[in-house]
Amino acid sequence: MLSPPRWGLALAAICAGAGLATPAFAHSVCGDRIFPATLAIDDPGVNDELALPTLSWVPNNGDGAQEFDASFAWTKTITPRLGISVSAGPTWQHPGGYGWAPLDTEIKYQPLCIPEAEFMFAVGFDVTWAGTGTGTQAGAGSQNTYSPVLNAGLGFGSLPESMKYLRPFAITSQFDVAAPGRDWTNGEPNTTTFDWGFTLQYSLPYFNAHVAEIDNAFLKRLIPIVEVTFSTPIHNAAPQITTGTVQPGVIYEAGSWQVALEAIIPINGASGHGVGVIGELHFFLDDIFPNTLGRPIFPHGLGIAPGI
Amino acid sequence: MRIFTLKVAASLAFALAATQAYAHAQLEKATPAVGGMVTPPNEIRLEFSEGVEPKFSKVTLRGAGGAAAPLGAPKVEAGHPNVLIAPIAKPLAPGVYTVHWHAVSVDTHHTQGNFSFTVK
Repeated sequence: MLSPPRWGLALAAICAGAGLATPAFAHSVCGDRIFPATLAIDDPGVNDELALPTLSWVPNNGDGAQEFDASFAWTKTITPRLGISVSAGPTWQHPGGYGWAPLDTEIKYQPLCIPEAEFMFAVGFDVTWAGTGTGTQAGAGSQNTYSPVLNAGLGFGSLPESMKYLRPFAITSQFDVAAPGRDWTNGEPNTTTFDWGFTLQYSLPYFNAHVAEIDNAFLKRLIPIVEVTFSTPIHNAAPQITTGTVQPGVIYEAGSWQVALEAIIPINGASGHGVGVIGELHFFLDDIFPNTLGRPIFPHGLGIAPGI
Repeated sequence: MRIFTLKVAASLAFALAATQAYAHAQLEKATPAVGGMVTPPNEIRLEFSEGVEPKFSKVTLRGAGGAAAPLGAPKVEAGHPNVLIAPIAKPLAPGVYTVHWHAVSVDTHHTQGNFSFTVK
């Protein structure tokens, strides 16, 4: 296992290599707005993308353990607006040990984009599969966890000219209910949670293209961002303490990839102690492989519904 | 450890593969400059992050009140497939103008945007 500092060096090496790439931009597009991939919640679009790796470290995860996570996520379009995703990855806790997180899959449909309003949303259904975790992440029972998910994004580009400096702002949000397949396993409760979060982002690429020119090749590709997530037990839990994190950071958008780095600040003692960090390298497969892996399996849809 | 070494290697491979990739064409630089104040220009020059297809790309120019200012057919600059140029048919009077562009990159991704400049 690589120690966290070596992971940092590895990530830096990846980024250095990626820096050779021709600069451009990406990704979930609605009208003039390009919503980047975010770390704490999902973006509101359906894409062909690969997050590899996502690395995080927290000094105290709320259970008194230092935790280091690594994961990947692959999203694939079936039709232009219908996609699936698969994600998993290992976790190390000290004290605690090692475990591989259960396989997580989601089917996602993006029914609407209003270009003039830079507004889009997507609905999904996520399943965390029982029996696919190992070690500390094996879980206590054989129940899957089911989560209906709603993602939405809104850009501020339609603000009047007098507020043009606010136009680069955008917000995205996610709401889901994570419900285990069984309420109890071996006498232990399985808690249902309401999870929600949002991001507030200020796109300097948008500023450069719509408001005023930025004469700096690095700055005009940055997106300062704050992500906030909450999780509230709503069934089979006592006490019902809401946990969550605030994650300020920055995203650098390049041609067919982006890299993001954020701090992880727990909102209360039940969420952890101390400031952690999360980073992600994200590839836009529709830009890297536009005619093969990065295109929908049925690029013209199946005629079932708009975009499907 | 071997698995993670492979993951890192795969990440690097994808990153390097990106050097050969196309992407959504985004506006890098414009002349007249985005938000700029200029003397009457002869053309609208849009520099994108990727090569664009002029046949499927579009540029329009409107003055204050929404009146259209006529433009010639957009074409790419010789030797620079990522630069789209639309000639301005008539001299522009002083005022604020808004450029609307719609670009189709060479890998068929669509992007669009708008910005204003002022003729003094």
